[in-house]
Amino acid sequence: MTKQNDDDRLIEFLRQHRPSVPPVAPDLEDQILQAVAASDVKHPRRRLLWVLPPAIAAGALIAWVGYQILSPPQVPKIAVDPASVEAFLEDNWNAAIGETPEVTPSGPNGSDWLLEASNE
Amino acid sequence: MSAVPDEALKGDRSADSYSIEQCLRGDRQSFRALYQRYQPKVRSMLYQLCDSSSLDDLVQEVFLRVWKGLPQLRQTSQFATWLYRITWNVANDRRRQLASFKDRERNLSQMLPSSPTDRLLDNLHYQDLVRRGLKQLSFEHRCVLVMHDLEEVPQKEVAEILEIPVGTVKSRLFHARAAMRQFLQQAGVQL
Repeated sequence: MTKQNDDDRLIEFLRQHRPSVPPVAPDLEDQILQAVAASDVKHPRRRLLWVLPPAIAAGALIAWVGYQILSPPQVPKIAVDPASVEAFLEDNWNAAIGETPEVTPSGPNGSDWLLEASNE
Repeated sequence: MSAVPDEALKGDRSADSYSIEQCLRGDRQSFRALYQRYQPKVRSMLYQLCDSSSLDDLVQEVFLRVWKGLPQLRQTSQFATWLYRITWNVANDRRRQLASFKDRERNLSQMLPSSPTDRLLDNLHYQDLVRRGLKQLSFEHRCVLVMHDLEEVPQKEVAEILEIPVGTVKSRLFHARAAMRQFLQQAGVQL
């Protein structure tokens, strides 16, 4: 007589003579469904929540790529920025004006011309 | 020992997954289907592990916990294992309640005159013997014996339900059977 046979006999005996379960109350199913309804547990849409982060990432990527493709070609920033343009023009203008006395004396008596102008 | 054919198991799991999806969308009729599918086994397991006085309440407690816990169930294919674990938890809670109740009862009975009754000799019916045999096992041994030998849950699944290694399941099963065999033999049963 092997141990496996012993076990099989025991299991067979237990299954054959297991205590019979009392009959279920006829209204138990409805009671449980009512209790479930009364528990008011909101089951979240778990699958949809999982989709949200990838969807947000994909949306951001599409928006960035679309912006890169559809936006007009960018001109150099210095030409667009009004302050830079203004500074550039001002520098050039000052440079041009600043060199005038050295480069363009009106004649052999340039200093006289300056004195006359100041007297007026 | 696996008494459930693989194809039937796959079919059950697929049906479970669909029902759970519907439940998560608030469909209570799908929960009714789950209840109808598993109620007999849950009920039987609870009955073998606990007393019968509050069986309906315990069944209701199991299925309420299932409904509330469904959003946390990650692997719907493992629904049966998860359900039996909840069943075991409910049975365990009940056992603790009864233990504290019996302590109080014992304290009261010590103050009353004792009436010698030998229940073992009064009821020699086999069913009653099995019931008593199960009752004299430790809760850990009884759980393994009931799940595996009576409810035909495979050892691997019992291990998952109880969160113990398969080796421990085998060991507990060995000791539980030995204790049950000894109990029955002492009661005059020839196996």
